[in-house]
Amino acid sequence: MFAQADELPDPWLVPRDFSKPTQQSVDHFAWQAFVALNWPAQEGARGVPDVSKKIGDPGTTVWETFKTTDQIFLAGAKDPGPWNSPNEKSQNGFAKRRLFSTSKISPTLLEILPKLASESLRSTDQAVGGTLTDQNGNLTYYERSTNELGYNYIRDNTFYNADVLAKASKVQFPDSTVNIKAAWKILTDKDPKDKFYSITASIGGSDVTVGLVGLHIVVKTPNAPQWVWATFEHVSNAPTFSNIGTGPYSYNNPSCPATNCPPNESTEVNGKPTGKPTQVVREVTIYESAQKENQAWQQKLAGTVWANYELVGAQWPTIPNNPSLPTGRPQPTLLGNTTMETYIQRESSCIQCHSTAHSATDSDLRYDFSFYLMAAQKPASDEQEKK
Amino acid sequence: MSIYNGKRINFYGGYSTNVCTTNNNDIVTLIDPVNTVLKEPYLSQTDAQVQADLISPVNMQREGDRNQRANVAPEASWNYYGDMTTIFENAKISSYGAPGKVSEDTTLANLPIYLLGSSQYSSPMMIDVDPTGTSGTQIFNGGIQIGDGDNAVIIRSNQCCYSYFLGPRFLGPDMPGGFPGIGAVWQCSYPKEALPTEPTGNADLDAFLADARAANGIVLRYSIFSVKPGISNEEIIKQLESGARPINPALGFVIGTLGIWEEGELETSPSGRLLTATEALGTASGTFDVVESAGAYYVSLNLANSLPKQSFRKDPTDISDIGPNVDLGAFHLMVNGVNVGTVPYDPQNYYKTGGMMDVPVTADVAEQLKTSQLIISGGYKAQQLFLESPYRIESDQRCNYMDYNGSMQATLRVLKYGQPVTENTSLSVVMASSGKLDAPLNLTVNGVTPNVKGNYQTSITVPAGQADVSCTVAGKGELGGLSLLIFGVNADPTGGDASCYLNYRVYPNHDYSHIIASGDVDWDIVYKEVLRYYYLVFPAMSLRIPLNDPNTITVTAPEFLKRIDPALKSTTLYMPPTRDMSPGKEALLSAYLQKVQSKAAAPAQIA
Repeated sequence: MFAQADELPDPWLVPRDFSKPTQQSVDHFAWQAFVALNWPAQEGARGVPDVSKKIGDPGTTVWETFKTTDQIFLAGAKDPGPWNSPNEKSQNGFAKRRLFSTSKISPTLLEILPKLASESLRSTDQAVGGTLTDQNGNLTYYERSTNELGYNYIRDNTFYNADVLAKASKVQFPDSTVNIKAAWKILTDKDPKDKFYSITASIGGSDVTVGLVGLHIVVKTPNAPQWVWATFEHVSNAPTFSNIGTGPYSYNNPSCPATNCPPNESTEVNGKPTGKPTQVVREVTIYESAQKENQAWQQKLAGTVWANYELVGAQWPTIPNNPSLPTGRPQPTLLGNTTMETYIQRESSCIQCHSTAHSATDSDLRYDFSFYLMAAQKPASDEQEKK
Repeated sequence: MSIYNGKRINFYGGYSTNVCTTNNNDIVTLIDPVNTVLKEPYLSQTDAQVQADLISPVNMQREGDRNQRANVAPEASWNYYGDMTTIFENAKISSYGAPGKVSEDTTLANLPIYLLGSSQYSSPMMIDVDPTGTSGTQIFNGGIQIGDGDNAVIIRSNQCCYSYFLGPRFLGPDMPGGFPGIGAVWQCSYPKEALPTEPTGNADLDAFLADARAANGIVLRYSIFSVKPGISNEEIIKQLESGARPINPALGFVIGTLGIWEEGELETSPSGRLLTATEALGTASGTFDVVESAGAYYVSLNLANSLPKQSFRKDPTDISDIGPNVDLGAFHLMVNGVNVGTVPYDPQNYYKTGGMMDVPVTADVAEQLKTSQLIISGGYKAQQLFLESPYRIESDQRCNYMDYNGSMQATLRVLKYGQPVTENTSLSVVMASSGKLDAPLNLTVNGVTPNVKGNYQTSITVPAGQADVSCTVAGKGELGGLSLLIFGVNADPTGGDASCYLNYRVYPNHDYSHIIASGDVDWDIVYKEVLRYYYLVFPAMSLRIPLNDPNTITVTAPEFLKRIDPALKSTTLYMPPTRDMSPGKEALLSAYLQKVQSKAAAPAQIA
């Protein structure tokens, strides 16, 4: 039933499945996926690892070449084109990243939210508690993307078009679809830049160096129709309550008392960022089997920036195929990333939350645990087209 | 009747229920489950402090000392994050056929059977009327599914099963402590309108469905037993201390039968004449009926929940093997002192026929049993094992929800040896606690307040020749509460074996009308008075929609309003699933949601 994938011979490939229905096996699978997705990509070819390189070598990673939601759901529901459609080439054959979202929802999505009533999406987004400000006073930036299988599924079914999607009878992404959510912080001279995976990105028209602080990896597998939800963080994001006062951290000031810096509370005022750093504390400690996998993989990755990342956890359905249990009774119960679920760590469950992804007009049309499709666009009218 | 005299589809397998501790444990000390509010010190603590205490391993370590526990926090820790989902796991059909002809050779063999939620995206849920007690447990479901994939036959109908015959499933010294040693019988029925009309492609299933469509529909009856959390207290403590936040569903076994729901038959009360285990056996009650099938007569016994299991499984997480019952040896049906049949009992494979056994009897014995008591004896210790209780009182109103000023009819069916009584028969009515709270005297029956157990002061009369009798149950006072009404044959005011109890949650008068009328319903009051309780006591709800976040509540307001509609109470979609929110609180929440929903973009839905 389960693929024998514990020791995949090709570390640049995401395994088809986890090998056994155990937390340890799922955690191992999560790390395998992390390595494969952070493998340097072949120049100019989306989603293809460069097997002549090794992880940690310079170059854009595989997942960074995936199509982002803003590239998929174009205004007027225009066809986003083939997977390897021409693109601006300025960085290893791929377009320079433009980062503009300060919540897990892209501006495009936020713009259409009133039309789509995607309240479930809002409930999961970082904007629930507001934006996240690091210790340098800068906001955190987010992006979301999907691999070729996910992209082609959306495009082949014209699900980027809200009108077509509304008439769909079923949404079921193929196995091995990979969805990514990433969180980036602006790296300044105060940050140990060499400890982060970093890129040059365009923010507000300016080129800045940003470092990866959080990465959700979501993989649909034969044994996880509710998907496997793995999340990684940079090891210096935030302390747990038991080691407050240590540091430094990107999102925690060890010398600021809780009275002045209440943990995990937004520093926005009237919904606007203030520049005051958010005092982040990890509320749910990393469980034992993830810790063990972290040790093992960080040793394997020693000497690369990837050794500075850790698996926070991987949620999976323990009873995946019982129609009585559409959410599959996920474990672990809680899973959140301090950079993406900062304010809801005590009630963050990937599968439970994403099980609410559905059509705004038909609650029986579920989106297969993916909020992406809530960004489908209304097609432009002829008049708009002419304009 | 029903599962006795018609075709049967029998099944067995695993079972699990992920009940939230705080809807299923001793929570009366720091939480008020009637008024759905926290007590001190939780009331004045922060949410984080309360949550930390609720999952504190200290609360688990105190478990052994019930006296001390009265002054400490609830034992939320063993399954704080439970979401109430309740399922059959790997349950499969094992046999099929009419009485006396039940066979494992069937086109239905090995097909899986599932309980369903009320939508494709919700699950069956186990909910107690009184979270501090065990008398009123319900399993809300939206139907059943037989088979998998494209060939699955799906029957959708919102129903609720209630627990009956809660009692020991193991013999004295071998009985595991607490719930693991106990079994219960559950039943609900699906009307014929919900049944598929097209051929299913399965000959035996089609024959069964044809009979069901010609009658009222289908009865689902099952026994659940050997239920135990998969993670031990010690392990839970260890995991909590390590920072993990596990769920800890209780796992066990199910043995069940799908039968034909006959005209005039109750929906949820397991039909049949009542067999009470003697002290020699000490297990839960069973049922039987005398049936005629294809010209032959049978005493059809349903003792799935009554005959003792040999041993409890070693690994609580392993529900792959039901295991044998105790070998009681041959035992016999006795009528008027005469052995009229031998029970074909196979302790190794008893579960393959749904725990039912058809014992052939003569037409004369069948006639005698209309006025005579059945006794099962012999076998184990050569003693009487079961005695029929001459009377049986039943009702479909097992679990009831009512506002403090509401009223409803309670209808009771009273039979003697399976027939309507032949003389006017008086039933006692007494009130009792349904859990750990004192009986609140919050009800009247036909205008009279019954006394608490042991000293009844009201009764109702069943006229001769009539099977059913009704009375009016009404709320009394404004405080609400959780209680039982116990109906017994008058000669035995404590109820006796034939007694029937009905559970009532009477909602208190939570009057927020002045706030609602002012139009000044804000987040602070709604969170404090309504949502905070559920955020902290039933956290599984917040895994989908964080109930402590006003922004989320605002954008989900339109769908939230739909979900708190009392019309959904019979489904698995109702919020809160615990069904403990009073109409007054619902009105307050509703007023808030209506006020903020204009800020939500458009009508929206949540899972």
